[in-house]
Amino acid sequence: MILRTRNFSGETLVFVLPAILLLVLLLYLPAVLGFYYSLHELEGMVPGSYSGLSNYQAVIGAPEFIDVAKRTLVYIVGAVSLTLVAATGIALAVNTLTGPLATAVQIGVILPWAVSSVVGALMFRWVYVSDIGLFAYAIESLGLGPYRPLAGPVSGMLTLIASACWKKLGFAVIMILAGIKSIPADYHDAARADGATPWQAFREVTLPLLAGPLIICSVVLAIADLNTVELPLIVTNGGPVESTTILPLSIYSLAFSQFDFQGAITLAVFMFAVNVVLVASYVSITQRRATHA
Amino acid sequence: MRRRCKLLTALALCVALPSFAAQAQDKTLRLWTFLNPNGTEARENALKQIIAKFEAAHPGVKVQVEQQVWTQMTPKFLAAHASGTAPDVIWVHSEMLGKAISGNTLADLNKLYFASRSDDGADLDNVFWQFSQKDGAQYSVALTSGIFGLVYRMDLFEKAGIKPDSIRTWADLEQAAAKLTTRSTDGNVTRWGLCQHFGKAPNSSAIFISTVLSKTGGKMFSSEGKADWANPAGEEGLRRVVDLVQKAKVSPPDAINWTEDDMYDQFAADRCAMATGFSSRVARLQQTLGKDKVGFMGYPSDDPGKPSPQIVNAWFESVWSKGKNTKEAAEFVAYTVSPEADRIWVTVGGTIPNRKSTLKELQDFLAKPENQYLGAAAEYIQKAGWFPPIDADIAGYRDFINVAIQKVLTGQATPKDALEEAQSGYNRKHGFK
Repeated sequence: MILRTRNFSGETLVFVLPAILLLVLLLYLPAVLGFYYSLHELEGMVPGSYSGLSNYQAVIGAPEFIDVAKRTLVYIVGAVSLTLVAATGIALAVNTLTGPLATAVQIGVILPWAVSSVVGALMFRWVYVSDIGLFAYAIESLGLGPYRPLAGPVSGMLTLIASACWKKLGFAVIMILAGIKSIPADYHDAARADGATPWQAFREVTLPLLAGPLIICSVVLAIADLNTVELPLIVTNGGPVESTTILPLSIYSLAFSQFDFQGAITLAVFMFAVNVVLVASYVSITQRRATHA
Repeated sequence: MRRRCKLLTALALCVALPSFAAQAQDKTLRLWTFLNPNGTEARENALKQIIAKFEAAHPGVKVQVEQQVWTQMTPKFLAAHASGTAPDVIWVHSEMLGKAISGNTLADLNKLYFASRSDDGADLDNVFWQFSQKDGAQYSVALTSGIFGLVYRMDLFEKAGIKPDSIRTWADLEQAAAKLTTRSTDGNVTRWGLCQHFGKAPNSSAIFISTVLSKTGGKMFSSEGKADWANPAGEEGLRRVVDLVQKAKVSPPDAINWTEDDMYDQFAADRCAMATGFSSRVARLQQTLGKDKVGFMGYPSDDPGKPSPQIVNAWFESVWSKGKNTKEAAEFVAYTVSPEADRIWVTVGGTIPNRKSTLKELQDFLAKPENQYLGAAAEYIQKAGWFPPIDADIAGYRDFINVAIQKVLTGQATPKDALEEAQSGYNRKHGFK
């Protein structure tokens, strides 16, 4: 007997079941187990006595947690803002180009996003950040050296934000360009006919109509930046003086540098909860847009 | 048609069954290590040869290497032990050996192999062999052992007229580093005399550690693992490290974010004349720079000619206590430190001999200039090698020390304040008040 409801059938279940099983095995089950482990004292990776929320108190109540949380917020806000601004400018420029030039520019921008995160982070570090990299050589050849972006806490964070922007710019350009192309040309024609300057047309016509794609893009970028460990690990190594140690890197350090698995699991569950909030926002926004459309 | 199918099926089974039976008799030993037997590094070549010889001598036993990231390997093993999926043979990080032993994750190699071979034990007896003993049991053998010290460019020393054994004190080291530091016409450093690395990493702060151990008689931790480095010895060590960067200007300030690998990259790129490195990395640097160009020496001290104590390190190869093939695994582990394998580790892998007999047999080999580093490291281990307390959980201490160094380098704290903050943070994390 095939189960049928208004929009659902047993046949549908057969098709989505493999994906659901994978999600359960790779995401939900580890999350549930992680939550279980975080409520117990770990004895050599095995849950021992029940400890309630004391592990959360220990981790979130630690003096360094507030600093890590602040740095993570600065990093996310900085990286998302810079990426959106740069991507909007590039998308607007690409929208005016045609033919091979438009294709070449798009490929050039999207390439960092297309390579694997670790490879991208290594490339960024070797080319732009290392004192034996091409960029440092070019800077010093122009007489602007020496070049030490990782030597200070502020420049270190700016370098990390720049690396996040460089890596995710391609994705943001694609999303925003799609948004720009969905704006009917009549609107811009009407604005031009009314004597609007390009800046006025952008501010009064383009930007309001791009609000949806920009909000969705910012939530997606925030989720991606929150869950990035390879960029701070490879580009800045969390320094100097932990100035670029953000939440995911803190979890990695706890687990694999300090071998504090208890702290790492607890913090990871906390971060999972933050991710749930962000994803819920994303789903809510997209559903609202679908309803209005 | 049906008859033909039945005949073909029967034929197929006749061919397949013996191979199934043979496979059923074959045993596969899973080995977790950070080396890749198909890689090009010297130790990887050695491991490949050792595995091939073991398999040839033990038909029916295959060794399957599952390469791991070295920083994650031991924690993964502990997790795998809990879930019953650990490998038969594991290379345990020295800082986690105590935890692995107390968690009953490792088998007693005496019961499985060495108890009936006391000559073997005598030949293998050294600080590493003793370190993995507890309550009469032998839990591991040490592979790729070494010690932290100064990796240096022999050719640059010769060019500058510096003899390695003239570096007998910290002041001598600073003078040599100054002589070896070269600058371009516009004043930029083209090669640093002494490269260090201060990024948060599992291996660093060697000069600080040497100073503290030297001044406190080896008391950086209590036997339970409580830190004790926020004292005059610690301040002296931290100042020494920072002064090499800021006053003497022989160490690069960029090293504030360098990992150990970044430092070796710089050394291999001819940007450092000396580096605070590990002895077993010399072979790989020689592959890049030339066999006759890279040497090794211990850290000096304030007492001329007496080297400063320094951390020794090794990978402790062990058998999983709950494995299904503990006997074969123990035979493999024992084989990797057999006289034959020990010679391969030294001559091919560029590691320090485990056996006293190997040291005697390979005297001529070790006397060659390009192998100077092996003898120098072995001698340094004997004279000044230091092990942290095995039962103490001291994981992550280097992170705290490096952050303290970074704070002083960036002017955010004095050495005293930085060390006190580091010590109290570390002790709080490890449950000490």
